[in-house]
Amino acid sequence: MENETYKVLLADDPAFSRAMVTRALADTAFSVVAEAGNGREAVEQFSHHQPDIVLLDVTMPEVTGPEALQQILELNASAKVVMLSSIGMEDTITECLTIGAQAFIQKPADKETILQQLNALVQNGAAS
Amino acid sequence: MTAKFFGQYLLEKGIINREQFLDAVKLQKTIDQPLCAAAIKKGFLEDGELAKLDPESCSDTNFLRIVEEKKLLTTEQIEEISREQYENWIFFGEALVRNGALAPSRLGPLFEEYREDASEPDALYSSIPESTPERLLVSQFLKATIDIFIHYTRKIVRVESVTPSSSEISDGVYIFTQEVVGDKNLLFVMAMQDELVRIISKYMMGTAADEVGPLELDAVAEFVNIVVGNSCVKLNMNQCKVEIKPPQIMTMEMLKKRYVADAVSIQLETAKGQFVIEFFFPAADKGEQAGE
Repeated sequence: MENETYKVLLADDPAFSRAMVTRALADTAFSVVAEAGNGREAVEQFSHHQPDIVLLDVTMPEVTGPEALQQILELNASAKVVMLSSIGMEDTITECLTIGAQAFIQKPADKETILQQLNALVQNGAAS
Repeated sequence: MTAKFFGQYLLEKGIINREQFLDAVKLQKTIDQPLCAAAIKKGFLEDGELAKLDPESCSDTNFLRIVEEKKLLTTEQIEEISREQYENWIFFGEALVRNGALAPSRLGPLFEEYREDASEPDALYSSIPESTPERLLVSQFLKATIDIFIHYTRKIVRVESVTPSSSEISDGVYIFTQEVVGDKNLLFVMAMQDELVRIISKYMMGTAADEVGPLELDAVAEFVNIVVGNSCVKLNMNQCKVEIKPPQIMTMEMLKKRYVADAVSIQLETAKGQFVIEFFFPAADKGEQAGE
């Protein structure tokens, strides 16, 4: 993992939220190579960039987070997807993890929490 | 800490992983009995009787609503099945222990840590009156607003007063989102003065803006999104099913045209002065009548 850089696709509806996460990941091993403002774009960008990790919001227009998650995993069953959402209801989390997300980060999430989850993902192949 | 249920807390801390989380949920589902099943098992209701009334009738929230509306069960019967459900309920932490994902000796201390993190500064909420409309919803939204404000400003916010309000809408930004809470379709609107918008966007973004531009408004909409999301989690913890749509910014003209409602006004004392946030819970029928 030393000196290795991981490509991240960041999919979240508000531009502000994407800007904040991008800032949090600056100067880390995780480089945001693509962004998406809705679920449809998220799937398109995943197909185009084949990122190492996807940070995917739950509530997005056009195609929801869970729907985009399903489509991404159909493109690549080994895709590592971390859900990022203000809605941390048990049903929502269970649904996303059941579909195949590796982790779920509830907003507001600080830089430390995001990096901890991403580091666990690349070290172990799962967020633990 | 913002509202977070125990399983999510453990997941984010890395104490359990995805598989352990899902296995615990699966165990809970095999043991925990919905109220509708308990009512049928006890012979209080015929199998299939509820499904004729509502296909979603077996969620506890819908079940209680239907039996109350249709007078299908007595109060004593409801209490009996509720008590039995609670006695047989397996909590998430216990499910983890039973599955071997967590040592029994760790459960107590971890839960205490979680509870300490989640503790609320009760003094801040003492101003929330009992008589506000949709009391539980209002109190959860107000608490979530304060929690998130504290999270971003790192300063204690004193709630000066929380008062019912009728039609006074502050100048500034109006951010709304639609919620479906239980069987109620509600519009949640947060109105903030321009200065408060600047403060919140500054704290969210880490930099001060001379003017409130699209990115600053986006930051404030995200603030509302997080408030609403956290409120939903708290409501969900109180067995209240919630659906949410992404928040949008609305002009005052659109707001007044479409929605007139009872409101709750919360005055906040911060290091930067006093500000007002207003919450509106419009009547659904007014929204339907106005239509778009």
